Amino acid sequence: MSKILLVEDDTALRDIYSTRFLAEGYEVVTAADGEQALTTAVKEKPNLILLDIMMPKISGFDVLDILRTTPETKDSKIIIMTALSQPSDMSKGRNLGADDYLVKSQVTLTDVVEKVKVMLAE
Amino acid sequence: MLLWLILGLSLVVIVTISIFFVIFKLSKKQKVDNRTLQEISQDNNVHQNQEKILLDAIADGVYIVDFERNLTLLNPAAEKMTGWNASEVTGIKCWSVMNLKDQKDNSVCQNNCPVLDCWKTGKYVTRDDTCFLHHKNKNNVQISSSYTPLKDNYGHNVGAVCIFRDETEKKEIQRQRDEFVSTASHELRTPITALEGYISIVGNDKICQTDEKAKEYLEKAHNTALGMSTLVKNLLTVTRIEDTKIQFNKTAFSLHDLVAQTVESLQMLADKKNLYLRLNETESQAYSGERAIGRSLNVFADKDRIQEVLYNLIENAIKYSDEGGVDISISYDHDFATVTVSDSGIGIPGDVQEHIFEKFYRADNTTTRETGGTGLGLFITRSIVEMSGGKIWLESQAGKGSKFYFTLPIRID
Repeated sequence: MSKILLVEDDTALRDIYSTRFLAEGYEVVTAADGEQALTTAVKEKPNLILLDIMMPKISGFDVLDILRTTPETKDSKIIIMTALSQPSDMSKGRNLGADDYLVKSQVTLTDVVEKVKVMLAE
Repeated sequence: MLLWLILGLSLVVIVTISIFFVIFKLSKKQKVDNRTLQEISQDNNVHQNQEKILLDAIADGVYIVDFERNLTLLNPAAEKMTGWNASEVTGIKCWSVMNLKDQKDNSVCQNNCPVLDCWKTGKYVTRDDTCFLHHKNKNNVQISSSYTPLKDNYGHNVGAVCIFRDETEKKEIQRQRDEFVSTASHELRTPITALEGYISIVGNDKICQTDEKAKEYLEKAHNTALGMSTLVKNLLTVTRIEDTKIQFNKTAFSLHDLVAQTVESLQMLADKKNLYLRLNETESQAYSGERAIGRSLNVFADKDRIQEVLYNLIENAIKYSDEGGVDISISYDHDFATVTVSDSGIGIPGDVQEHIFEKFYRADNTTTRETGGTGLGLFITRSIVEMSGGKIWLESQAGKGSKFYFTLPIRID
């Protein structure tokens, strides 16, 4: 069974996404900031990481960078889920090694679930 | 003998009295003349004084140039707003003193001189509040201005009068307002996303058990949440447009393919109302020629933004039609592709057409509330088209449907 790490600082969104993914049959672990994300990722070795960018302490971009240079996590699928919609942010995300970049205001919960399903099926 | 004496005396008296009378009359006349002259020169002073009082009192800056564009007058408000004393700059060319620039620091005086403009048209011209004039001692001052030609009796231009107003405060208020809208919109995004998320979870059978009625209402609630999400997104787009911070990622792409894609995504909406959606394409000779030798015809613009434009226009056409359908056609000439979105809907009356591309303008509050309009869609659409180097316009009559046209620059590979 696939394991998803959900990195999101907003409590309600964390609650919603994990409820939904659990209902879809995935195993879900969460982190509320960048530091937690890194320690949890190394410990839990998820198949896919949903990564928020705007977080306290360290930004999602920095987390992504570190994840991609850490042996245990460099091959995980990583989808960025953020409010940042500018093309410059999108390129930054892709250049740092994200597998996909989703803008929160442009996708519904169902869309996200679909993307995750497709990516984990690959 | 006594008789002669009396006669003589009487004569003398009469003559003396007459002389005095004449002298009296003369002096009275002089007094009148004197007073008239005094009055006349007083009149002049009052006139000049009145003009001076007027110019001094006007809160807007006023300056006058002669036919060679040398400054001949600055009122006190103009002195204050430019930092110059009238005496310092009288006789100097207006452009070297005012040094008007636009938002991108290009010289308005050099490229688009309003004085030359008003002489050419013969009427007053204006420059809107994106103009900056050069203050002697500090930063440029944001102003709006008008220029009127001064003519002699033969109708020749002998000068121009310019009136300008400091818009700095107004702009600051606008900027604060836009910042507020932007902050508020950002703050709204997360709770709206959460709302949408929770609603979709409740309606999801894998997580909650709900009956058909509940599912029906939940779908409506979900759509409302999605509508709110769109509104917030539009508000943010508008503030970014105003701020000119919006980024365009221009590429060459096939307009036909993009339109076909958009039509496909709106097919369901059209089907629900039993309306047809038709895409036609006509080619100009030049285009056929290019295609014949294997070149593809693309437009050069930001693909995602143009998709927004197409989506907005076609969705509107569907929303405001109850029967018939929507025709979309693309035509090409040498420089531009023109897209026409034509509907068989309720049409748009003339007085509404004037305002329809304005921010927050809603033709008729009841109709647009029902169709979910926010008054921002066409404003954003026009901004995108114009910033892509195109134009947008419409033809319509109440009750006879509407045709929206927009153009985009072509890029031939």
